[in-house]
Amino acid sequence: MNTSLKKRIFGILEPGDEDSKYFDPFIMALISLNVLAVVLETVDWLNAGYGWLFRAFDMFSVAIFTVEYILRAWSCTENPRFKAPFSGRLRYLITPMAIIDLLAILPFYLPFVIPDLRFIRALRLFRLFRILKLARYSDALKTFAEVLNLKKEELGVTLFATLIMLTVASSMVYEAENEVQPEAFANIPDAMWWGVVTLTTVGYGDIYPKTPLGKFIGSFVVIAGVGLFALPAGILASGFNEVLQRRKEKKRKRMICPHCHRYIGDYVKMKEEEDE
Amino acid sequence: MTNSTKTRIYEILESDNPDDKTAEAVNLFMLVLVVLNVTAVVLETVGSIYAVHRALFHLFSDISVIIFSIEYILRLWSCDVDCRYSRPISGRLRFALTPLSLIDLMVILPVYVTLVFPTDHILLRSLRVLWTVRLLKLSRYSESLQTIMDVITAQKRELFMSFSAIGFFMVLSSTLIYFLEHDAQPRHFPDIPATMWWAVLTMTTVGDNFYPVTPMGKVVGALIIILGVATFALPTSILTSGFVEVLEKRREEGKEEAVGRKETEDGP
Repeated sequence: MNTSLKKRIFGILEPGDEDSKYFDPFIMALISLNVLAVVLETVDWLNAGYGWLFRAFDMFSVAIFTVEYILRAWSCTENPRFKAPFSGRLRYLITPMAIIDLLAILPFYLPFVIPDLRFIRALRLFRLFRILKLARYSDALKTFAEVLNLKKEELGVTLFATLIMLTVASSMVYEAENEVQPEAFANIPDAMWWGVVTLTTVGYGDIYPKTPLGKFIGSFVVIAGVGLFALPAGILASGFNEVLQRRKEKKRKRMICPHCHRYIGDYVKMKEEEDE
Repeated sequence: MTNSTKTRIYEILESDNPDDKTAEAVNLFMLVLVVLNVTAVVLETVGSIYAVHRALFHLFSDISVIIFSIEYILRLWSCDVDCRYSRPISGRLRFALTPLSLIDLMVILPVYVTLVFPTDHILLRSLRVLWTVRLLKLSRYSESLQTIMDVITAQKRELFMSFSAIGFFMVLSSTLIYFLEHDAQPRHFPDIPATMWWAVLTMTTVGDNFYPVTPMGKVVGALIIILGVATFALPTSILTSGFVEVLEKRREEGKEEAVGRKETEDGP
């Protein structure tokens, strides 16, 4: 009886099967509404008028997320990966998704333990971790994570090159500008802010080189660096393409001969040949 | 007699047969009228022009609305010759509920309402820009518009994914920046929705005149910008690669067709 109940709850909580037909959309809607609430709560007139509603909704959601967290921790032993009652559960609790689940509810409970006002304010930010709970359900986020994982070496190399480029360029511009604009280019980190804003082509125009030498170095840096800063975008895009292409290919069904059980070709390919 | 007139009128109004000279002429006339109307709507908002030519603008608007009303009534009357809308009442109703007919009605109707309750509301006359949707009907003539639609349909899953990634990234980054910058600049970062506007302008590299000023805000901001610009560029590159794919496929089809034709020519 106890195990069958556990199995049922595990099925309901695990996304994507028949058991969670109602639970999945419910929890997704709840998470999205929570994110919306975190965003809208910061609007003064909304908070002044409907503050009680935001707080009530927060309490309601935390109650549900807490029950969800406890049930997940209890039923995770149904998953063969976390079979052992104690060490398995412990291993489940340190998976990224379980940590995100914990971080999503923790900001509500911590102020009871540590009643420090500044701390409580910072904790409000942590409610944002609720948006990460969507990762369990969102295909797009999973794909994105897969792309990052697939391209982590390329991205690492380009980010490293970008960082070197940024540091060198900013130091040079700092040397050239610091005397004329001691406030705008007060230190190299300030110059690096200029570098990021300029090389990503955002260009706020809050600080910019004014001396001839600074302008010369600046234009050189921009021409050389804009391409480098555009690299991550290209890598991400090609990673996206690759992952999705691979998925499409996986979908092609392998055709097995019904008599000899041997692989005789891809379903999609066969169909294309028929069409011709 | 009426029936054949009706058929002819329907043909003229709805035809996509390029050999039908009358239909082409009527079509062209309506399109020119649409373009002129849109130009008028745009120019009407320029105070100095509107003040001088007020009467002309109103006259042109009235005449166009009358012409489009006549066209709308003729269409509604004649649509039952089309087998899809052949029922006199329910067929006509279904025709009236097609997107293009609804848009026509949406533009025309308010003008007649103002005749009964006279108000000079610029918004009502600006509705005429909706007629530009008629230009979409040209898509069957224009291959490039069709290509764009093909690319979007082929890549709609990828596009949806990249847009959700963008939305996700935007919420996350504007909340972070809001918490880091709100105390320093309550005027520029008053709440998270306002910070989202900053996020959009920054990640699309448009740039804005407010930006993080606190050291922590700048550090996090720089990271967000580097990653965000890459994320926001995803739809562009997806569309680009989609375009290349569709065009390549088309070129291959064209080649095959040419080869096929040559073979049949050589064959007998």
